[in-house]
Amino acid sequence: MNNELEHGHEAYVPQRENTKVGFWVFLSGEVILFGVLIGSFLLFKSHHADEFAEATAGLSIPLIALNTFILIFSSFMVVRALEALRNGSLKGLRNNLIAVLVLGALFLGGQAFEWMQLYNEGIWFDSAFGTPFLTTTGIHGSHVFIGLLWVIFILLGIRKNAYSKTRFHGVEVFGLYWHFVDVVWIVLFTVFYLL
Amino acid sequence: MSEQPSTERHASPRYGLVLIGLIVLTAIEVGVSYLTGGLKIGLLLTLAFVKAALVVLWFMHLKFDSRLYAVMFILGLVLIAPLVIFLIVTTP
Repeated sequence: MNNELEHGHEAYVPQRENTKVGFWVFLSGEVILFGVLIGSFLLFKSHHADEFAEATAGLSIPLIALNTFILIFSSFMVVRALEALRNGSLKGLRNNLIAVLVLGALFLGGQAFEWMQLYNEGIWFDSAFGTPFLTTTGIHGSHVFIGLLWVIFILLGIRKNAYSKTRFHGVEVFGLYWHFVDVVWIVLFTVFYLL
Repeated sequence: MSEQPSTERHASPRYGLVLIGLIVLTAIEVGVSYLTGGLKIGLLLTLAFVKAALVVLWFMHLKFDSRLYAVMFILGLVLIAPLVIFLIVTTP
C-alpha cells in the first residue's frame, strides 16, 4: 500500500482494471436493454402475427446479410487495430480504424436505405411492426453512430500521441464496445429478419 | 496521459479463422431461413448463439481475460434470457 502511495503510477494499475470492470458492468446493462427491446418485438409479433408476416416478407434479406457481413468485418478490423497498436504500429492502428469508420458508415447507409424502403411501404413508428422494429434497430444504429464518433476521437488521439504500445487500454475498451454492438446485431439479424 | 503498464499477453489467436467462421455461419443462417417449422427456429438460434460466442470469446477476449468480466456479462444474460427465450418459443 505504502509502495503504491509512494509511486503514483503503480496505483494506476487497479484504476485501469476498474475501468474495464466498469465497462463490463455497462455492457451487462446493455444486454438487459436490448433484451427488453427484443422481448418487446416478440410480444408485438405474438399479437400482430399477420402484420409482422406481411412486413417481414418485404424486408430485403440480401441487403441486411450484406450489412451483417460489413459489421462483422468491421469487428475484425477493430481486432487488427488493437493488435497493431500492441505491436507498436500507430500507422496500423490508424489505417484499421479508418477502415472501421468506412465500414460503420456503410452499415448506417444500408440501414438508412432500409428505413426509407419501409417508409415508402407505409411502415413507420405508428404501426405495430414499425414501433418495435424501428425503435430497436434505431437504438442499435445510434450505438453504431456513437462508436464512429469514438473512432474519430481515437484518431484525433493518435495525432496527439495519446496511444502507444503500452498505452492501448482506451482502444481496448472501444473494442469491447464495438464488438458488443456487433453481437447485438448478430442477434437482431436472426430474431428480426430470419426467424 | 500517464504511461500505463502493459498487461500480460496471450498468444494471438487466429482471428482470420474466426472471421471466416462468422461469415460462413451467416451464409448458412440465410440458407436455413428458407426452411420452415421448429427445425428452422432451433438451427437459427443455435447458429446465432455460436456466432455471438465466437465474437465474445475471441474478439472481446473473454476466453483469455479475467473470469470476473465473464461473470459480469453472464449476469445480464441470466437476468434477461428467460424472458426472451419464453417469448421466442411462444411466438407463433
